[in-house]
Amino acid sequence: MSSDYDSILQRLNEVPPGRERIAVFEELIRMADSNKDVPMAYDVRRDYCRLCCEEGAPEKGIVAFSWCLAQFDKDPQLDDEHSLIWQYKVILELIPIFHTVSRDQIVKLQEDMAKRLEHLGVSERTAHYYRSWNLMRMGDYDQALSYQETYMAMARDSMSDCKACEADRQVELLVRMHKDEEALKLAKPIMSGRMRCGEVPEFTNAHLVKALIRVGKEAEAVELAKSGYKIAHGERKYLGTIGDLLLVPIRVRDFQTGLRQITKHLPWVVDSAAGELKFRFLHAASLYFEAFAAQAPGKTIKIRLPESLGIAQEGDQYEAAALAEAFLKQAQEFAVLFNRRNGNTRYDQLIADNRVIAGLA
Amino acid sequence: MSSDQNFQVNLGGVIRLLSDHLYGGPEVFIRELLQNSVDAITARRKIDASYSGRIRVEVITSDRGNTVCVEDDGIGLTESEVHQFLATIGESSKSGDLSRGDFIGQFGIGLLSAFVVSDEITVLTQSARDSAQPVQWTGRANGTYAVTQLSQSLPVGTQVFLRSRPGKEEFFEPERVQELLRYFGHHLPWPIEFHSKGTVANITETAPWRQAFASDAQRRETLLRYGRATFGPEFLDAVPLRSETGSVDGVAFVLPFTASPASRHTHRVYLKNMLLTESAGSLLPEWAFFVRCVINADRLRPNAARDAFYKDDALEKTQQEIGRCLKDYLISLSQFDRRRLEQLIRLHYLPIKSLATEDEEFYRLFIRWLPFETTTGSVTLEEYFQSNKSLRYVKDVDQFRQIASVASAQGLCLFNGGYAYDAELLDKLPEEFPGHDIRPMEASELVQDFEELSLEESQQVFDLIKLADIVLQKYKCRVEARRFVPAELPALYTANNSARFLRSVEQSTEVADDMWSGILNNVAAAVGADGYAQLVLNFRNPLIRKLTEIPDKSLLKRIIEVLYLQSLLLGHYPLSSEERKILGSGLLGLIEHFLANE
Ligand SMILES: Nc1ncnc2c1ncn2[C@@H]1O[C@H](COP(=O)(O)OP(=O)(O)OP(=O)(O)O)[C@@H](O)[C@H]1O
Ligand SMILES: [Mg+2]
Repeated sequence: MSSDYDSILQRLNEVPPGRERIAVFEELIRMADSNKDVPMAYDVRRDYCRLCCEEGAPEKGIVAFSWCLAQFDKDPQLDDEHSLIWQYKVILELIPIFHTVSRDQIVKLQEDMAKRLEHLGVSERTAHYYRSWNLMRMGDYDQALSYQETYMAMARDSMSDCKACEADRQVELLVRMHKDEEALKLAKPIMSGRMRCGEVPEFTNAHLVKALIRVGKEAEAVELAKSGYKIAHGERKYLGTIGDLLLVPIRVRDFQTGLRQITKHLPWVVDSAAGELKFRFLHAASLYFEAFAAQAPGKTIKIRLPESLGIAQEGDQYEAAALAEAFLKQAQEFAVLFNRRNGNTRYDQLIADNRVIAGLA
Repeated sequence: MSSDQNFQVNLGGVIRLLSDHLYGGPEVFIRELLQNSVDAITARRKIDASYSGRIRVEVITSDRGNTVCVEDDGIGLTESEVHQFLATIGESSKSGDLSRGDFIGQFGIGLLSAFVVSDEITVLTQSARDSAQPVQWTGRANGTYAVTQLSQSLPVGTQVFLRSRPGKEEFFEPERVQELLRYFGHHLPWPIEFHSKGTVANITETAPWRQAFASDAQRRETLLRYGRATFGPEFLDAVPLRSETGSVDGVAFVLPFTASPASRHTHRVYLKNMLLTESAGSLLPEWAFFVRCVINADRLRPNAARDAFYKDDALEKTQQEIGRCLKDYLISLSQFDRRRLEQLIRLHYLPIKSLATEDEEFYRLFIRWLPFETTTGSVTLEEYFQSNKSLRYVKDVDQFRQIASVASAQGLCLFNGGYAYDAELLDKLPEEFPGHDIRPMEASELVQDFEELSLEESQQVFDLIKLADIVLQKYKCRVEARRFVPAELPALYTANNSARFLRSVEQSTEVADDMWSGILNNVAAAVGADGYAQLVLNFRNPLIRKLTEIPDKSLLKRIIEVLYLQSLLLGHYPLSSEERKILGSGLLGLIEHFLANE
């Protein structure tokens, strides 16, 4: 039995991160499940969960995590509580980007984690941090800000995210609230490269370009969009980020760059299940075609569209204006769903904001 | 009480710090002295470009301990510079300079390494500047120093004398000194003469990749020999590296075996022609894990220990330049040496694929030669398109496995897009091969190409299929009948991505609480699709045909369940608890049935 594991584990060492690696993990999970080897199934799922979150397949990560959590609750020997809850944080962060998860579910989950944090004996800081994060994602900016102020006034502890991540969240909220100068000030150490981590400045750049444009620093935004794309373009989890950054080439009517990026990343939109990421990219794409159509009315554009998007036509030749409309329709469907879920109209504001950034207001 | 005081530095402590923690070992004093001489020559050439430098090293043997003397004809030092630079730790004449990038040294601490092997450093120096006086400086490990003006005249340049300290004699043996000079300095750009016991040896030699060769073949042979001497293996090829800006040159050796992206090979790196390290990582772009390199870089910034470099823009530029050279090499192979390219692709298709996903130009050039796994073996697109106009691929390994044996039994060639980079490469094909019909497909689509049953046959299986559909409904599986080979296979189970995802959701909801179950179902809803798997019964299979004749519905139900179970097990699917019940009720029920009928 163990030699079966060995050969797959060996393959894990050889396979670069990506979809193939995910598949190898799934094979391991199946094997452990078939063997009813719960400790093995647990360990493999835990690593698989991390990989999926990294590789932009959060839905798989969530499913694997919930299994682990349930098993852990039955048998706490399976894992170290601290590291399990650390993963819980990651998962909790990803849940609200699914338009199908309800507001009530998000809050319940966040409070479930708060209880676990309390049980672990850490302060309420991390719980507040996630309250703030979830409220931001659900569009309640003022309340999010007040939780942010609360947690920032408390001492960091072993469950706190790294400083760079925290700063990133703070910057995002400020930018969403149009407190651009404040955001840029807070982001200084991130922009200078002094403050960084595995996902910062990757995530932060998407917010910063918006702030830069709104305060009139277009040239800086162009540079940042370029360097930001360079470090984010290879990873699916940055799909939304890439969409936001794309607003900048659209603004300066750099149609070549825009077309290349849209062609490259649309297949990711199709593969992704996370509505928020899809929305961000689809809306940017619609603005691209809108800008293109405005520049050269009536002109057609040749582009390869994934079939399952439901827009592709024989011959690959399209009216830019028609594409703009088709993409907008898909983006708007998500906006409606999120607005409904969130109980507000923040997504309309995001759409309006994007138009300004893209120079289409 | 609060008057400002100067820090006191315990030199002994600092030296221990350097020798034990910063520098590799006592032997680095040779490197540091060479480095200072080279920098001094560089500085002199800044005021007199026509001047060409020279370094002379001598070991003077004596019963009271050997002395090493390193002499250069570089810029030298004036008396005030001696105070400022030699006698002040952390002061360097190179740091303020606009052209500091031209020097190797920068920290102002290197000379201290001499105290690790010697209690006293004596420097005689004559500055190249007009009207400067020759000066002698003596620094001692106890932190004191003396400066005297010399009356005799000296040639322009600097001589550094070190006498071995007890316990460090080995580093002053002529053989050892010569060996160290060679190790660190064999590619330095100025002649280094080594004198000892009346003999003279030349230390430097032109780097093999900079030598002139009569032919390409000769160069290749020489470089390959050099590669073997440096790293061991008999490499597949040697690729000269030279950047556009000239700041990087060297040679890359193509590994004679397949490397995995996780294996991090190390490289030998020279910095401004002085050996920096034999084990540098992170020098190449990520995709280039099929070579080991020897390179000289002029722009990289060394760390203070001088055994690695900073990760900065210069490093990124260097990576790009090396990447560019390797890419050009592959392209030139594609034009002039297809045989070698094929050989290389056989071993190293993975890094080449990786590059092709990043670089469109390269993709266009290479895609037709890259191998892909298919249900009929490994093929390149060039081979494949010779006799095919359409191409179908599945995007993951699992689906490929589900259908591989069935497809190959039918002689169907389907591409596996599940391995690293493959799906991404295949996705871009339609652009490269216009006029071809290229599409990803789900495993279940394959079934649509299976032979349809005749009207009569489909009437015959009607009841069986209907019943099977009802029985397997609770496992989210649909049933169909077709004819396909191999005939021995009674049924084929295929589940596309979303079906497999939903299986995993079910597994989790089985153990999760209500809150999580609700969330999981909603996440699953975002993935969309009905998530139905499919079971295709094979009408060529005699057993299946026999089933159509069994009137006993409850028996038939059990058989269908067991068939379903068997095809799941064939695909290595773990069973849900519901499915596991089949093992009990279904299988045992069958056994009971047969025993009862015996
Ligand atoms: N052979 C030499 N000729 C002329 N100047 C020298 C020579 N050796 C040392 N110096 C002077 O002494 C200074 C200190 O040397 P040291 O090796 O400690 O530091 P550095 O070379 O500037 O930097 P690093 O610590 O990186 O080696 C140099 O900056 C240079 O001004
Ligand atoms: Mg030095």
